[in-house]
Amino acid sequence: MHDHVLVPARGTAAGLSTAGLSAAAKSERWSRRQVFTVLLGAGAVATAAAAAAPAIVSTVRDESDRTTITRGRGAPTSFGSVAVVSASLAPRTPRAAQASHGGHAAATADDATVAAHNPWADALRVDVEVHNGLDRPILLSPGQFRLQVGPDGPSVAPYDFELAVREVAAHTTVSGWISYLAPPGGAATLSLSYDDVARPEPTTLVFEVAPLATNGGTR
Amino acid sequence: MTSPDISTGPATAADADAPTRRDVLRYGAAVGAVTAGAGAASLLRGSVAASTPMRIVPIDGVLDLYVNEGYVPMVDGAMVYMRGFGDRPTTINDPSPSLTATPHIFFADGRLVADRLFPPTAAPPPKGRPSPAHPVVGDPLVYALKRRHWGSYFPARTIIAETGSRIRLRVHNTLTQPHELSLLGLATTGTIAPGQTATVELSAPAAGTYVFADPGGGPVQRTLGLFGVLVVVPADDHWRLTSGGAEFERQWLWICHDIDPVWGRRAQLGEVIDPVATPAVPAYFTLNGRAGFESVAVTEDEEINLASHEETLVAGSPRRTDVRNFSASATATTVVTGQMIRMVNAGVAVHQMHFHGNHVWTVRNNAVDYSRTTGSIDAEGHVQMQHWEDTVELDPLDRKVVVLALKPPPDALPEVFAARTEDWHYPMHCHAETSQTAHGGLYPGGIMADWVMAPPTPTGPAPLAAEHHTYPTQVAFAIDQPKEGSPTTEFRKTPDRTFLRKFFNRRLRFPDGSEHEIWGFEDATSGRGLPSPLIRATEGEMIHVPLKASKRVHTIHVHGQEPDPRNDGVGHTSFEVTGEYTYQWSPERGVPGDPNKGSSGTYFYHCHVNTVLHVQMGMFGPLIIDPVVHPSYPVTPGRTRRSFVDGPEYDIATETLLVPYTVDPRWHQLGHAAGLSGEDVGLNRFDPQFFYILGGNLSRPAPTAGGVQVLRDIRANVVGNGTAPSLLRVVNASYFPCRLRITEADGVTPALIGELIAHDGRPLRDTSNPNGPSRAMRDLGRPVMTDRVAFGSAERYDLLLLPPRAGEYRAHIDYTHWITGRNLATRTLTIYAS
Repeated sequence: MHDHVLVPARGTAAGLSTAGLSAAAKSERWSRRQVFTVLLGAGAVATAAAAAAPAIVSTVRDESDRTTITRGRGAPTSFGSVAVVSASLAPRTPRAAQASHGGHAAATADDATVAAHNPWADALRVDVEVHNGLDRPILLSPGQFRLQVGPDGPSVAPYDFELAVREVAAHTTVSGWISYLAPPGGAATLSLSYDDVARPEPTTLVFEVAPLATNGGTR
Repeated sequence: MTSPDISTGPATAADADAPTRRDVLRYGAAVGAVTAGAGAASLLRGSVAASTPMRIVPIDGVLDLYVNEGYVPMVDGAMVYMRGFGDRPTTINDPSPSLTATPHIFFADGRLVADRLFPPTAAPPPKGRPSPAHPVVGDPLVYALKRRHWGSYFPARTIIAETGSRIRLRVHNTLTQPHELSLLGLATTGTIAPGQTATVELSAPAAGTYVFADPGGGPVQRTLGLFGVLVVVPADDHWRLTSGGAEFERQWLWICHDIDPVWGRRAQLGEVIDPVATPAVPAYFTLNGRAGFESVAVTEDEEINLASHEETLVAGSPRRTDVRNFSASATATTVVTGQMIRMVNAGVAVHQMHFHGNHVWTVRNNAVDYSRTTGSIDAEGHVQMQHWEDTVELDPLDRKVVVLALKPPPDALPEVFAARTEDWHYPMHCHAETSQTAHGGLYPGGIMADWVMAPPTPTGPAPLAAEHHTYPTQVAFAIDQPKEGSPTTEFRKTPDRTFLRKFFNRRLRFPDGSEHEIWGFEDATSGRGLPSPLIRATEGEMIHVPLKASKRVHTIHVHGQEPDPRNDGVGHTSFEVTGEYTYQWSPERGVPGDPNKGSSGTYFYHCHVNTVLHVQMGMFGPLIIDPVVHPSYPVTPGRTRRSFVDGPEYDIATETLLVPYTVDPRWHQLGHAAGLSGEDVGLNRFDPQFFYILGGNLSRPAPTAGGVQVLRDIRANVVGNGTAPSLLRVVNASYFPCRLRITEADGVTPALIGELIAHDGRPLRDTSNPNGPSRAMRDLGRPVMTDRVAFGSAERYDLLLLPPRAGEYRAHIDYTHWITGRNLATRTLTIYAS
């Protein structure tokens, strides 16, 4: 199988600026049903994007509540912005389990038994960045980001995360990884949606996943 | 004690930080003010809330509740808009909204105390688990319990009141639409306008369990989160359900709830939700506000795990509880009884609370204590009397009280039980299996809770960390159910009966001409059919069921039989099987007149891997345990049997199995592990399109060519001249509630010809004598006659058919929706009486 890595857009300072984003960023008021798309093209290396420092790319004034909102990289949200910084696809690395017979922890699933059960064997790791541009904290949950498999396929809940449920302080940017189990051969059809609770529609983050040279496994 | 007047408030403001003259004016007179402004950056109508929270001066003895809104992380991390009765004012933009209140206690002496532990002065059970007093002399594997010693932890949303207390609530509506707090059937605040305050005050009603909720929109506001539970306890005895009622070691409160994110989103937008036009489609199912891996305390969050241990996961040492007397005691300081569970359904769906490992003894339904002496049938067809159940139907707003006996699992081998060195975990889960999902998959991710039997040498609770493998997410839990290839059957014995079960999958043609992909079990001669072949054995026999799982992972759970966890066939409490495993157990022998003994009756077995899907795919079959013939209750060999040791004789030739089963064809396109990887495959939406009655006459030879075995008619004897009555065994293999109605041949006139004799494999008995025999109802001249039986998913009933004359009758099966209650279909069979 091939491993994949997100390749950010060529020639963009934060690796995230696209026509769709630019249009959104220029707008100081957003329609209630606007769906934002961040399309990442191929070309640059993932590490460059991951290493790039968070940046405030815009400041807008929301006329609905007279609140000034700062934006970070990526797609604008009701509170600031969310961005995919990088993504990689690799075989899932199961966590070890302890042997026991009486309770929750029975024998560790070995490769054969995992294969017999047939959950998706690959894991997509997505590094995301969330900027809270409000003057108050917000609650962030990794489950607000769901993997979308193709235009008509299922959405998928996180398998593991570094970006735990947390409060994000005012005017703060946080980042971390979230992983998802991914169906075989589906790298080209994957996207990420972010459920902005103050908006009626989720924000869609589309990205490409290119082959990786090495296979390190993804939790 | 004199309490300040709730309608006027205290003479002085208690909190210098909060009160202003305007605040003081707000007391009780419903003049509370909310600064209604747009939530920052919120573009949605309806999410507008107070940007400046209410500030209220507390009043002694008055509980302030706030109607708040906010976003709540679900078990998969999704955020859902909800409302709730909180204990502080918060806004929609609060990252930690107050949507539930910590438990509060109204004492008869006028005190109001906030405490999760009741009684607050009782010993807090470590991790929720009481330690026993001492082993029973001469029976060292079981224990006597400390009497009136352990406190009980209650979940958020609970209000406790002693009888004789005055319940005084002041409710502040911080939202922009009217709300209400109604103690359903008791009292209400009436409508509370936006930004206003209202009060409700009442004397504590009779000891029992009550729901409070905003009744707006029928179930709508409750489903959005505006609900809670009032528990009224007898002031003179905190360890009984009522004064003189069932005594317990400790008690638990389980609050079920169903969450529809679409309703949440629509409410957030300010829409008025019509629950009839757009019924709820819950995507999350919670017990005490938690689900799945949260409920069974295997998250990486120790606070969540501890809360589940203390509030949800029933645990204790084994004891020989006698259901005739929950106060059995050898000394004043010890008792032998079980733990009491108050189960409340605040949701919108019918739930089926299924206990593995032990049946539970049902003592009360809503405000009515079940009789020990007389059985009756309610209008819908539910049996009303104290009895054993392993699957307890919980309709919306139902409050049922059961006692978990914590008996040594009756069908486990004694040597296996004696060899325990660690906790034995048994699942409790809703058997309306759609409730076992989260966001359309993620089994087991819904309403569930283990219960735990402590090891034989209790050394106190294990430390929180490292007791169990923990998981970062529900997805990780769902895909990592423990698996073993071909494990060993411990303490393997020579079997009296062996029933090979091999997995198969095949498209089967149904009698209506439709074809569906079916998964099932077959044996060497059965062919591939639906239901899977019958397992039938006798109490006391050593039963072996070798499972060959084929290419994938499966188990066999013998539903209602209660062996040790390794032979219970549930992944998260033992293992799933990838190769072969021989399940072994021995059904407990019954004793005439003893309600605590005996496992004969009607059961079924099924796969417990991704159960929500695998059972619907057809991986189930009937299981019948016959009693050993007792000299005092003889039978006519070859002609009659008894369904339990001292039960009535029935005619073997007309014994019939009736199994309602429904098919949602969309589900039959799914794969083995659908939903387990975290993908939404819609397993929370069961939309049956095909309705069948499986089964047949059990005296006929077992099928050998497979195929779909449907019940085409029922034969019933007219009793007389030595003819025994006919027995009908009913098993609900659907996920929705069913009802059997028996009518005359006209299809309309009820025919009172059914006599209920057993439920979930346990006889209906008079248990009023705490020391004497508990005879079957029929033998006492008080048969439980009915023309209808309501039976939810996984419930079983045994009923005798007693037609008074030859001719035709009709048996109608109504299939009803688990949320709307709408009748989806009716199938009718003819009962031929002769």
